[in-house]
Amino acid sequence: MMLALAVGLVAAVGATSRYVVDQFIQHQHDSVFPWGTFVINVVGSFVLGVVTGSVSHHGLSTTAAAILGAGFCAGFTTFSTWMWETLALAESGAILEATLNIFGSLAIGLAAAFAGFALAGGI
Amino acid sequence: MNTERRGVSPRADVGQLGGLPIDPDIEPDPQPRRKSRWPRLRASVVLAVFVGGFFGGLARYGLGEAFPTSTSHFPWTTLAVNLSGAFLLALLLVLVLEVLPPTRFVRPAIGTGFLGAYTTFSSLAVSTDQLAAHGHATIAIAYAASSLFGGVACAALGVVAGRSLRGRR
Repeated sequence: MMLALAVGLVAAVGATSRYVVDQFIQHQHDSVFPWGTFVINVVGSFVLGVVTGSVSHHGLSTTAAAILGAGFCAGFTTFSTWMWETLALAESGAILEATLNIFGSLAIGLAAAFAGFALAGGI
Repeated sequence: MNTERRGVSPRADVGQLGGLPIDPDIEPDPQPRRKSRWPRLRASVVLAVFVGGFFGGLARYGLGEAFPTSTSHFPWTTLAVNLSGAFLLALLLVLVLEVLPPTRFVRPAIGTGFLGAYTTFSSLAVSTDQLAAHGHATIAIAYAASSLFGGVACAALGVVAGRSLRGRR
């Protein structure tokens, strides 16, 4: 119960960070590509890779992993906005950007998670 | 499309002139001014995101505890959370942007906060990697593909559902 509340509070910090980072990144460019969500999801995947690798290789406790992973990383990253922005790009006729957003986010997110895990594993 | 841009005043880039008073007698700059590099953040909107994010994170964590999936099996709980969240966000945003009168807090609290924190990208990326690394490549591919195509389909369904409500008003 206490852990659930802690996860919720840290997820709220993650969500608030996502809002602020997205607002900041979206003010730095004029393209239609949703760079804010893209960067957030890639960075969050990298951090969750580090957290997961730290559990496997450095004995990070499952409590700490829940707070950092299920709390911060999962609250910081978002699937629903990724899908909405992909659909909005496609509907506005930006088919190339929509395709790049959906497949590029996944490919680079997978690579970032792997890199984080490998870094924590000491490879 | 930036989902958070709505609600920013059209005069957001005015008043960023180093605090100098704007002289109304000066002719307006004929060149369109570049938008400010710094977003204007309202404390009340940031707080709405925080509160929504708390409940969204709690809901996702609670579902994960109630329906746990082992790391060597298909992550049904995360998939269900992500697909339902994609549907609900698309439905909400169509209602907010196209159907209902303007509001200040619905989108940051329920969209950015609750549904943003309820759904997760990082778990999708790490679980897919872990499944593939432990010899479950087929499950990894099925999980990634069902998330991608299922997510787009659910978001499209949310848009259609929201627009059908508009038609009834």
